[in-house]
Order: sequence, then structure tokens, then C-alpha cells
Amino acid sequence: MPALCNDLSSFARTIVHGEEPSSEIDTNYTNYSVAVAVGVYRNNYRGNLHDALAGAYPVIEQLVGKDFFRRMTRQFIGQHLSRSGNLHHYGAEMSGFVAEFKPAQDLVYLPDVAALEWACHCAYFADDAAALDLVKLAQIPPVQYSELILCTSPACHLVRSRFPIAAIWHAHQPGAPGDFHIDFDCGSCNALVCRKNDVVMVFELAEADAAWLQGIQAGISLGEATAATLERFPNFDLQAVLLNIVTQGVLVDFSMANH
Amino acid sequence: MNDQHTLISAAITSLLALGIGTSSGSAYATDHEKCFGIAKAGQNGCNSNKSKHSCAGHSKVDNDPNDFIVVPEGSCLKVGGKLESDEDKPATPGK
Repeated sequence: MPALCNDLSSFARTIVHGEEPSSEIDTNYTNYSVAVAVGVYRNNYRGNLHDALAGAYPVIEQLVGKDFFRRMTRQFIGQHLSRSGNLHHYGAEMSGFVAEFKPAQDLVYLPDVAALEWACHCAYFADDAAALDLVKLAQIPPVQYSELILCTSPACHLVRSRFPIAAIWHAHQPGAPGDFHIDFDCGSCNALVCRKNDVVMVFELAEADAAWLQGIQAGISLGEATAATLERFPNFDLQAVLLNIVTQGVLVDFSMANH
Repeated sequence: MNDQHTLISAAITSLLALGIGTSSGSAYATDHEKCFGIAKAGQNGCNSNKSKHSCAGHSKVDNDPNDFIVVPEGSCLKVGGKLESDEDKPATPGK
């Protein structure tokens, strides 16, 4: 077994880092030299990782164009190894990578769009969660409502940006009209990602609603989160946001703060 | 604090009154079961998305030229074109 392990490590270095093929590699091909065979294998390796990234980041690919995307992902692939046997786990570092990627520096919104796309990707593959049990909620005495700790769905993500990332995302979905106008003066964007009936959706939340939900996601009690939000946003409408996010399947469970 | 308690009670009460969630089964209807391991639309098996590549499909030695195209040329041109990379400058839409 150690021999096999060594062989595989050596082969991996050849494929990933371009080291000279080990002399152990079978050279009994009639139509290929070892160098050509290794080149084909390496191209498959890169091609599959590129495809995984294109699957996770379709909006980024449209924004920068296919050729630019391919060259960008090639550099990403050189810097980031796949750490999982599941290709859907590959590409989490794209947002940070894009932020440092010099040829894309002019597209200042790109890292945040990448973060939103990764959230959508993770939302798609997140575990299912049951809908909020209102019968169970109805058994809680109203005097204890402030102590409720609300749990959000594993598919729910809040992505905040100073750019209109939700509008950019929507403009690049299948079926969206190709002609769009993005208003960069509309200020920051709080994009709420959730999943309903296996479809990933992106909504925009008002600043107050996003601040409140961030508190809820951090595990703060309903009373504390609401008080903190009202302090900053006196017009915060708890009833509206609560109805909205329960309808979207964002809240899935609750517990009590003092238990 | 009392005001806030009233507000929270009203919000939860309206939630219970509308009966969304479990009672309507709206969030995760069982007529739309997701198969274990199903891929995203257009992505299947070892061919991880809708492009032509697959496990056996990259038959070339290298289909990626090494040189960079320095300028992105996708729809970013419609999303305000080139923007200032300076963090503090407000982004402006290009026409």
C-alpha cells in the first residue's frame, strides 16, 4: 500500500504541479508518449474543475465573458486544490480570489457577486429543513415570546454589499431580458438567499430587516434582536418581516432562550 | 419595553392567525421530492455542467492558452462598464 500511495502522490504532483512524470508510470502506449498522455490527463483535471466553477458561478462567467472566465479559473485552479471528493464543494474561495485578481480590479462589485453566487450554490445543496411548526409555536405563552430563539434554514444566507448585487444577479438569470440597466446609485444591497420547492431565490431586504435577521442568525433572542433593531431603525416593522420570511421558508424552528 | 412586548406579541399572533408554515405545507411540499445526489440543472454525473467537457471529454493536451485576455468582455460592459477601483469613490453607472 505505501508503494501505491507514493505512486499516487507522485502522479498528483505531476498533474497538479507539472512535475516530471515518475518513471513508474506505465509507458506502454502505442499512440501516445507519456508526456502527451499526462497532458491529456491534466487537461481533464483542469477542465472538470473549470466546469465545476462555471456551474457555481454562472453570473460571474456572463459578466466577464467565457474566455476571461476560463483564464481566471485557470489561475484559481492553480492556487486552490479541490479538498473534497464532491466537486460541488469546490470554489468557496472565489470571492476573495476575484478581489485580488488584478485583471478584474475595475469590476469592483465582482467579489460581492461571487459571494452571492456561492451562497446560492450552497443554498441549492443545503439540507432540507421542515417548515416552521406553528402548532408548536402556538403553545408558547405570549409572555415568553421575547425569549424565542428563532432558527433559520440551512439554505438561508444573507449577503450584504454596497453594490446592487441582487439586481445584477437577477439580470443574469435564465429568461431575464438581455437588455438591463443597473442603477449603481441605489445604495447598498441586502440580498437574502433562500430555497423554496428546490428553487433558490434571491430577495432584497430593507436595511432594518437585514440588521434584525443578522441578529436572529447570530442566535440572539427575538426580544433582544428586535430591541437592537428598533434602536437604530424606529420604523422597523417586525410583523411584516416576520410574515415575509416565514412565507419564504427562512424560519424553520425555534427554542427558548432560558433553556 | 412594554411597547416592544406588545409589538412582538402582535407579530407572532398575526403569524399564528395567518396559519402559514406547517398548516399550509407551503414551505416544502412533498410533491416535489428532491432525489438524493441530484445535480443542479444542466449538471450531471462526472460532467459537472452543461458545457461539452466530461471525464473523457478533454481529449486535448491543453485547451487553454496561457496568455490572459486583460479586459473582461462579458455583460459587465452593460453593468456600468469600467468602474473606479478606488474603494472610497462611489461607483457610477456607465452609459
